[in-house]
Amino acid sequence: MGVTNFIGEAWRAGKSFATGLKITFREMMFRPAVTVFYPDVKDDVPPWFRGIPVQKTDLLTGEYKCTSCMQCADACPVGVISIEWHQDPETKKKVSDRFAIDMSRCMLCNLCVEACPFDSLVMGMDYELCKIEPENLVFEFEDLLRMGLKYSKAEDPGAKKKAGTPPWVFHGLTNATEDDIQDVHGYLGRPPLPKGYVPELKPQFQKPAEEPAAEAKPAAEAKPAAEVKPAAEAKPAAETKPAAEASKDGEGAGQP
Amino acid sequence: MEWWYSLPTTAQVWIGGILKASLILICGLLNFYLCLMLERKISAWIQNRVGPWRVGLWGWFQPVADLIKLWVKEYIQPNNVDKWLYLIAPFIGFVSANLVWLIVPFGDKLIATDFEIGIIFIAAVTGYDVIATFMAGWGSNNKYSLLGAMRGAAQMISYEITMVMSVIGVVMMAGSLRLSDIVLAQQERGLFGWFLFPQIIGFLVYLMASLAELNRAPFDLSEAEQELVAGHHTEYSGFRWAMFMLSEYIHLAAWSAIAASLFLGGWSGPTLGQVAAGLGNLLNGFGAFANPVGTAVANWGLTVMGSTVLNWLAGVFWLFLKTYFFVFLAMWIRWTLPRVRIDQLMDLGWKFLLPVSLFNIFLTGTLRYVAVAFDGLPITIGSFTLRLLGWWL
Repeated sequence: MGVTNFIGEAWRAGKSFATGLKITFREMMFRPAVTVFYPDVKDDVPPWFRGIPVQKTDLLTGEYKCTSCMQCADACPVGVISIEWHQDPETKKKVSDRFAIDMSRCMLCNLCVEACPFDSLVMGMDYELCKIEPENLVFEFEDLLRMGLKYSKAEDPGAKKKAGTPPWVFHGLTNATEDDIQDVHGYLGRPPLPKGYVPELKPQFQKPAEEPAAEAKPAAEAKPAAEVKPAAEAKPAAETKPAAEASKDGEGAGQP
Repeated sequence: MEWWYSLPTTAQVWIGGILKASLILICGLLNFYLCLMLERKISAWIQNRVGPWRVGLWGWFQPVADLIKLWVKEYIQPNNVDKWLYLIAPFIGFVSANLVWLIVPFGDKLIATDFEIGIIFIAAVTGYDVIATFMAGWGSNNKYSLLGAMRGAAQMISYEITMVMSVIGVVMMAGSLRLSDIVLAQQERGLFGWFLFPQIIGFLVYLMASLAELNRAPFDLSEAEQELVAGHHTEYSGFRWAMFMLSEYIHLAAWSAIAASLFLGGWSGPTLGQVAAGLGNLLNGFGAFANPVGTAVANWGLTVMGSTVLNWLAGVFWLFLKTYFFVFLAMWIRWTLPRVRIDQLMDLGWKFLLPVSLFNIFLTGTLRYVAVAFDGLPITIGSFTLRLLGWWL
């Protein structure tokens, strides 16, 4: 190695060294931090995020969409979905007794959502699933329905099923809450009602049942067309909705 | 001071020694705190993070929390360790790091022990650091520890030579090994008469060699996390591990202080009195429009200029400013460059830095000889060159 080579090497090394220092200096001084202060600020998750699988509800009727068909339990590679059901002796339909997901072993693989033929399951955005007691990691039907509310929407019962993007690809966050349930007869998690059956109103809606029914019509007409359509074609259960509920629905966020 | 001189000599030595030692220790710990925090913050800024944030304002109490956590942590001692070596190694490293602070001049006569052999003393106490590293590596009875310690020892021994050689140029110019003399020699050279400019080669070599000496990236081969779990402190936990960290950062700050003293004029810098006098002069328009305010400021400055305490404070301020410039530089380099291989390290040390530092000695000696030989001769041709040379040396 001659002297020229020696100096050249040193020069080259010094130049690359200075370049590196320049880059880090720029990063240090002029670039803002990308840190999200997590517990205070929560970063948005992408739409393809796979959190806990949750159950959707039909906000119009308040019925859950699960039919206990066992497809998801069969599809689950780790077998964390446990479904119990019995047959209703009168209608010969399945009635769900229990639907639970053991999140301690769930690997968030999305296979249950893909298997679901009724678009009932969806991968939620919730990722803070820590529990102090491991038993609490078993999410029961009520928990899943409550978490799934914000992905639920009022289904158009008359709509034709379209072939297109499969429903499990994106979870389509609607940010619905329990207030958005238009069901007045029962609470979230009620099994699907047989056709034509009009159940009793909830106790708080029973007494002024006559007047709200009259007021419900103009209130429904005042609503935008997109919302009137499902309301008009809805089941009888939805038509007897009181005015208080109806006006609230008009303002309710996240109605598709 | 009468009462102090009325004490017997033995008492003076002991009380003074204990006081100085305590001050040095406190200074070292403060430096550790600052360096640790700066390291974490600077690494975070370079990586577009925010660093420690939760504990205290902007996370500035994070080291306290960390130290308490390390303090209460379990002291794990693996089976089959060489117990004596294993237990004593961290403290030897700590002592050697603190000893370097002994000879750092903080101001005029503000120095713990003004050794005549300052530079040699630094080289000597750094030898203890090698021993601590090797004791930790050998005593841990762990192959990673031993590998790291071997590397560390090889690296430190080879770079120690280069480091001392690079400082020889400064010593030749100052004519003394004593650090306070070196600082005073730079002061005599006038404004910005720092040895940084004439000794730029020695400075660069010193910088690289001291980074290697401190086991800092890009030369942190002895604790290369990706290869050897943590090198010689793999098997340490709790406060013994913290001792290694302490000594590392105190050592870093001490090296930076030495570098500041050698190359950046140490504690020399404008004192408060000088600044006030200069400001008063400026307000007076350098005598053009003398006014009461300017005169008052200038007079106050002239009064304060003789104050020992204020001059010491100014010295400490300037020394720490320069020290932390080097600390910042070391951290900046650490978070910029990847680690070198062991053969590259040895190549750099023996084949590049050592010849360059020897060349620096040769150059300094030659130029100094020429400058002295031609000093005072009535030479007109090329006198500019000679004057430049005279300024340079």
